[in-house]
Amino acid sequence: MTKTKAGLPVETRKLEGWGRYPTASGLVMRPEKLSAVREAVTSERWTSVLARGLGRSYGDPAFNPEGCTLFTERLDRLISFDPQSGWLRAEGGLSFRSILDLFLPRGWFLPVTPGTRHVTLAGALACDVHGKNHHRDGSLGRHAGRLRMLLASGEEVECSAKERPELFHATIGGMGLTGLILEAELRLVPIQTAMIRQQVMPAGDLDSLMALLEEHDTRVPYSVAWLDTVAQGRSLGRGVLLLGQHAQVSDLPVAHARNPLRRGAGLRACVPVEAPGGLLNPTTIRAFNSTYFNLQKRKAGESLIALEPYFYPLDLVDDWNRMYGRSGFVQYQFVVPASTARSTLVGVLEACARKGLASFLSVLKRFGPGAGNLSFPFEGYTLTLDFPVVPGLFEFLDELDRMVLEAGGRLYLAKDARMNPATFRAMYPEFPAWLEVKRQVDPHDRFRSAQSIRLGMHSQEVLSR
Amino acid sequence: MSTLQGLRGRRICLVGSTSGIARALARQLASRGAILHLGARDLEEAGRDARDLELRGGLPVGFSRFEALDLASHPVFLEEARRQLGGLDCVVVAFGILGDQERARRDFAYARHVMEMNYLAPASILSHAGAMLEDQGTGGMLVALGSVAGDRGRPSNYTYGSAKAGLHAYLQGLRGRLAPAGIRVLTVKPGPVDTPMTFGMGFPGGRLTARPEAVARDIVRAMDRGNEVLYTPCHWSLIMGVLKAIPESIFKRMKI
Ligand SMILES: Cc1cc2nc3c(=O)[nH]c(=O)nc-3n(C[C@H](O)[C@H](O)[C@H](O)COP(=O)(O)OP(=O)(O)OC[C@H]3O[C@@H](n4cnc5c(N)ncnc54)[C@H](O)[C@@H]3O)c2cc1C
Ligand SMILES: NC(=O)c1ccc[n+]([C@@H]2O[C@H](COP(=O)([O-])OP(=O)(O)OC[C@H]3O[C@@H](n4cnc5c(N)ncnc54)[C@H](OP(=O)(O)O)[C@@H]3O)[C@@H](O)[C@H]2O)c1
Repeated sequence: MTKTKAGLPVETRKLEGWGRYPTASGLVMRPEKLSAVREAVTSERWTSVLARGLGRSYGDPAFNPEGCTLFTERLDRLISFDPQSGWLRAEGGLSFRSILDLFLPRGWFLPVTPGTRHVTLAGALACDVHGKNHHRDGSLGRHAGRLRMLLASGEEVECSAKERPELFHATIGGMGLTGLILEAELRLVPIQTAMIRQQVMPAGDLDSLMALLEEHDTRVPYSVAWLDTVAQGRSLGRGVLLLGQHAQVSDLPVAHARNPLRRGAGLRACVPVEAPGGLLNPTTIRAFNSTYFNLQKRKAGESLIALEPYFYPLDLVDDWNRMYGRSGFVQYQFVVPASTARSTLVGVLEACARKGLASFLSVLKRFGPGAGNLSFPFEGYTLTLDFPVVPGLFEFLDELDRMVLEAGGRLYLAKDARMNPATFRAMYPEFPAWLEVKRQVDPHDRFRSAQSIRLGMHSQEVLSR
Repeated sequence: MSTLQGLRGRRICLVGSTSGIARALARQLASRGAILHLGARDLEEAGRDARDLELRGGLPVGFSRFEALDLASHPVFLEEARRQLGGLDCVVVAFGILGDQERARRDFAYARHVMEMNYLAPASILSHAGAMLEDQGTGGMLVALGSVAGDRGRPSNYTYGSAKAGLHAYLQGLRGRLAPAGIRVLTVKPGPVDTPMTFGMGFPGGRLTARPEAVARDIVRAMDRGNEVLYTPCHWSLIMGVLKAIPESIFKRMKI
C-alpha cells in the first residue's frame, strides 16, 4: 500500500470514462475528508491532479494518467437547504441520485438533468450539462449559485455569477481544469407530482421531425427526438419526438393523486458479464433502430409516465456501457447553428450510411442560447451518436469533424475521446479567454486530465493564433 | 426497553463518527428518526456530518470532541453526549485503526498503539457507557465494531486481530453482566469494507469488499432486532465458521 505524507492511501487503478475508450493506468485517491482533499491537491507526491465525479463523461476528461485522480463521490454532504426558495448547497460529490432520493419526496426536482442520475453535482457543473429543457431553461450553470473552489495554490475561494464572475464562468463547463469544486449551490424547482405527461409523435423524415421540434418547443418544457440512423432515402432522418411536462395533481388518477410524489418502482437489469464481441454490433444495432421506430410509432399519443423512467431510461440497466464489448465506444455529440443544421444532419446521416455505421441511440434536440466560455450548448440543433470503436472509426469521425466545423458547430467535451487540438480551438473560439482565467488560477497546470493533455488546454501552452 | 425497536426517537451516540462505516450508519439511523450525537477528534468533519444528518433526517444532531487515547476524557465525553441528547439509549463504538503489521512486528511501541486503539480505548468507553446506562436504569444498547480478523490470528494482521479478539471477549463478558439491567450488547464483525481503512490495499473492488452502506444496513437491522453478534456481510459467518474449524497445525501452514 502506498500512502501520502499524512498517511492517505492511494492506489494504482485502470482509468477510463463511461465509453471505456481510451484507458490508462494511474494513481487514484478517494478523499473522504476536507483535510484529505486539501492535502491531495497540494501534495508534492504528484505533479498534477484532477477531480473525478462518478465517471459518467464518456472519453478521457475525468482521469489524469500522469498525476493523481481524486475520486470525490464520498465528499457528498448537504450543507443547507431553503425550502422557501429551493436553494440547495452541498459538497460537490453529492450525486443527482441522492438529490432525487432526498428531495423528490419533498416536492423538489433538478432544474436541469442529464440522461443519467449517476452524476455528481460538481461533475455536472464542470461539464455544464444540458437536459431536455435546454431550449427553455438553458444548461445547469444557469441554475447554480455560489461555488466554493479549492485552487491549485491550496487557497479556497467562493465565486458566483456576481462574485469573481470570470472564475465562475470558466469553471462552469471548465472540465475540472480551474480547480476543485468543494461546494456548490443549485436551485431546485418545485413539482407537484413525480409523474410526467409524455407525448409521442412519430415523424417520417428529417424535415417533419425538425418542424415538429420547432413547433412544440415553444410550448413544452421537455423535448427530445430519437432518430433512426438506419432509415435511408425518403425516410432519412425519420424519428420520434418525445415531449414531456410535469403532471399536475389534477392530471393523476384519483388513487394516485392522494400520494402524488410517490415514485414508481425502479426496474433494474444488469449486464452481468463482459459481452466479448459486444452485444451491440452493426447487425443488432440496425435491428434495434427499425424495431424501436415501429414500437414508438404505435405508442403515439399522450401518456402518464413516472418521472425517473422518463428522464433516466438507461439507468434501468446497470453498466450498460459494457454491452459494447472490450474495445469500448465513443459518443459523438455536436451542435450546429439552426441555419446550417439541416444540411449538416443530412450530410452526417448519409456519411454514416455510406460507411455502414449505425448508431444505437441517436438523439436530436434543439438548444436555446448558450452560456459562453467552454460551455458546449449554443442555439441550434444537437445530435448525439454512439459508435463502437472499430478500425477506421476515427478517420471517419475526423471527416464528420470537418463537416461540423464548416457548419459553424462544435463537439461536446464531456463526450470527446479523440478530437485533435486544432479542431478543438477552431470549434471553441472562447478558448483563449478561458485560458486567461486558467492562467490566473492555475499557472502551473496543477489540474490536468488526459483530455486537457490531448487538447493542450494548459496555461503553459503557447497559443499560435 | 431491551432493544431499540423502531429506532425512532432513540438517542444514539456514535463514537468515532467520521469512520466510513459510522458515516453510512449515521445516515441510515437519521433517516429512521434516531436522535444522534457524534463524537470525533476532527471537529470540522463532525460538524459537517452533523449538518448533513440534520438535513437528511430533519432532527438536530450534536457533536463534540472525542479522543480515543485520552482515556480519562471518556466519561466526560459521555456526560456531554448525554447532556446534549437529553438522555442516552445507545452508544456505538466505531473508531479503530488497522495499522501496518510489518511495522508492528519491528516496532513494538507501534504495536502497542494498534492494541490500544482497538482494544484498550474501546473497552474503556464501553465500560463507562455500560455503567452510565446501568445507572440510568432505562435499559439500552451498546454496539461495537469488532472484526472477522479477531476470530482467528493470522500472520498478516495479528496485532490488530488480537486486539479485536480481546474486544470480542470483553463484549461477551459485558453482555452477560449488563443483561440483567436490560442492556443489550451487539458485537459487529465485518469482513473487508470499502472505507479509508482498506482503500489502496489492493482488495478487489468486487466480491469480497462490502460497501459501507450494505454493512450499515445490516447493523441497523441487528440493532432493531436486538441481535448479539453480527457477521456482515452475512456470508462471513460461514467463512469464519469454516476457518475457525481448521486445526491449528494445518492453519499455521495455510497462506491466508
Ligand atoms: C447515460 C448518460 C446520459 C447522459 N446524458 C447527458 C445529457 O443528456 N446531457 C449532458 O449534458 N450530459 C449527459 N451525459 C454526460 C454526463 O452528464 C456528464 O459527463 C457529467 O458531467 C458526468 O458527471 P460525473 O459526476 O460522472 O463527472 P465525471 O465524468 O467524473 O467528470 C466530468 C468532468 O467533471 C470534472 N469534475 C468532477 N468533479 C469535479 C469537482 N469536484 N470539481 C471540479 N471538476 C470536477 C472532471 O474533472 C471532468 O472533467 C450523459 C452521460 C451518460 C452516461
Ligand atoms: N473497513 C474494514 O474493512 C473493516 C473490517 C472489519 C472491521 N472494521 C472495524 O470497523 C470500525 C470502523 O472501520 P472503518 O473502516 O469505518 O474505519 P475508518 O473509516 O478508517 O475510520 C477510522 C475511525 O477511527 C478514528 N480514529 C482514529 N484514531 C483516533 C483517535 N486517536 N481518536 C479518535 N478517533 C480516532 C478516525 O478518526 P479520524 O477521521 O479523525 O481519523 C476514524 O473516524 C473499526 O473499528 C474497524 O476496525 C473495519
